[in-house]
Amino acid sequence: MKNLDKKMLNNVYPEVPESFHNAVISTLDSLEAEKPVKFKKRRTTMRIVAACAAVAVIGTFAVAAAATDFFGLYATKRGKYGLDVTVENSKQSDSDYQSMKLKFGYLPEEYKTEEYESGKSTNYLSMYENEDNYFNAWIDYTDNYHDDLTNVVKTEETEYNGHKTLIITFKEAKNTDKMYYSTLKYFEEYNCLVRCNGTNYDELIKITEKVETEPDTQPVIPKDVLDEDDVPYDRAITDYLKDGDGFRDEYFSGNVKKAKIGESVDMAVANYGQEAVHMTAKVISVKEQDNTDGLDLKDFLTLGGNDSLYYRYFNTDGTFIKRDEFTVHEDADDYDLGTVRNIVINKHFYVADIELTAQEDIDDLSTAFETEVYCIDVDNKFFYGYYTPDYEYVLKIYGTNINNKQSIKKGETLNVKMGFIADNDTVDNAYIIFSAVDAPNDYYQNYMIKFKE
Amino acid sequence: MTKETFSKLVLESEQTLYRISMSMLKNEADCEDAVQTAILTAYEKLSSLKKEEYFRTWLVRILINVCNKQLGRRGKIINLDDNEYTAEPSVPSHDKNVELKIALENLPQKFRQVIVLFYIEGFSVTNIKNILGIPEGTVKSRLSKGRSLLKSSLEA
Repeated sequence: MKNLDKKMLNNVYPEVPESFHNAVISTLDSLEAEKPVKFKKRRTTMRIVAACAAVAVIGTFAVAAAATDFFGLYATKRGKYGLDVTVENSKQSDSDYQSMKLKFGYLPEEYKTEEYESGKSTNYLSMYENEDNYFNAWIDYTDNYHDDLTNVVKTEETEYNGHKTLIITFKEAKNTDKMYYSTLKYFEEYNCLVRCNGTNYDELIKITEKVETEPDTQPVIPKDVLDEDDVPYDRAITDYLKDGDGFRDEYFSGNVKKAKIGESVDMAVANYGQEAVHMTAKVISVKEQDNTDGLDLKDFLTLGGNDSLYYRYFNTDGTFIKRDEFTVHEDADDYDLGTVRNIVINKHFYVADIELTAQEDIDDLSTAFETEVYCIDVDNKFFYGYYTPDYEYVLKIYGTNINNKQSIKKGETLNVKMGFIADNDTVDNAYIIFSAVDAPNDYYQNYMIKFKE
Repeated sequence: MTKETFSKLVLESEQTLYRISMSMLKNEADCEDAVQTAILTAYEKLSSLKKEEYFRTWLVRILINVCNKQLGRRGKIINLDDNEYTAEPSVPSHDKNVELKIALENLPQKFRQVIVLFYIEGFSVTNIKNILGIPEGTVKSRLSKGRSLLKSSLEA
């Protein structure tokens, strides 16, 4: 059902009833008037690594409308190392955006990728060899465009084929000599920018000089479908962890059920629209492995939906990369380049053998049962395993290979494997979580199994 | 942000707050409790909001957290007698709105939540990722699964 009828869905819930509205009004009336809260300005660096830059980033910051007779691409210095980049379009954009594609008049051979050669990616390109050698390019649509940059040490304004272009030089940090560069070439006639980023200044300039953009044959993109930028609000990790899903609520209320390796737990799951049915789940074993023996590589799932993370953690021969080094950037703002430091994390790869036995027929196990991993540290903070650019906690890298529509008959047993990576600091406090949901009753059950006794 | 601006933004989000709380809690009294708690919490934590244009997303996240806590206190087993949306429609079954309503209400919460946020409230995948604190891939897979379940239900 690709196109759910939005009008129908909007009619599912009635208008706001009077009692609800009155509750809102009375609460607002009860608030004490306070001093206006000053918003902190968001700072970003434009340093993009390939893993994050593989999708076209659409800048949609709202910009305070300034009275201006000028139209175009503007860069305004902010402090010593800050830069505001804005675009004021010379014409009103339509309600929809014309899809644009990149056209490179020059591209070094080593920057070309399979996707680019095949024509699959038309509006972005990402080449990443390592932190010292990468290039990426994409198209940003410029309606209300605004970006804050930090670590800027030089800005050049020029024009290529009548298109205003900014060339920006960044310094990675005050305690390193590493530089990286970006160009923004403005195509006013199409309300878009071509953004190129990379580590080789000379090649970047050559590429930017000759890069063009042209309408794509794809349908236009409705404006409301474009992804917005991340919500940049700040929360202490402990605040975040105390909110959230049923497992966390159970954990902090002391009601989470614990189990051991080898112990069967009974869980109620429900097919869609049906009564709950029972199954047992058991972790047979958790073993540390140095490689992917016994695992089907095609079933490796990563959080990005592709296998690029697999190659981050495993060599091509399937051996696990036990030691990882990261560069962490800290404390950059308008007056400080910040610092970088290298951290080394020693990691372990574990494979859990899990057995699921149906007590009754189950038509579709995948909707009602999930396994996850958490790490819980001594301060009772815990983290759902997911990748961050700097470091990982416990990362589920291999799915439980429960496919959609996976049915299981009464008495049958399904064996699944689950792989995860934990670093030295977290491995002693990592847990496998079984979650089952009884859909009609919205009833969740969670068990946690410590995988390193 | 002044109290006046805050109030104005809350009222602009009122429909969203109602629809999201109702999709989770399914009764009016609990929704009123939840939204009052969410408004008070949001006002108290106003300094954590970095840009006014993200107010709606931020407020929705607070509301969802409040609703989750309320569900936890309720014991997670919803007595169907308390549910204003019963499995048996009181209108002819050819009424598509009612069928869709029932189908939506019968979705597991994790799928219903993303469907409501995406299709009814118009949040993007990135917004939903931040509201619910889950990876983007999970948002997409739940949308896909939720659509598939709705379709199966409506075609049955």
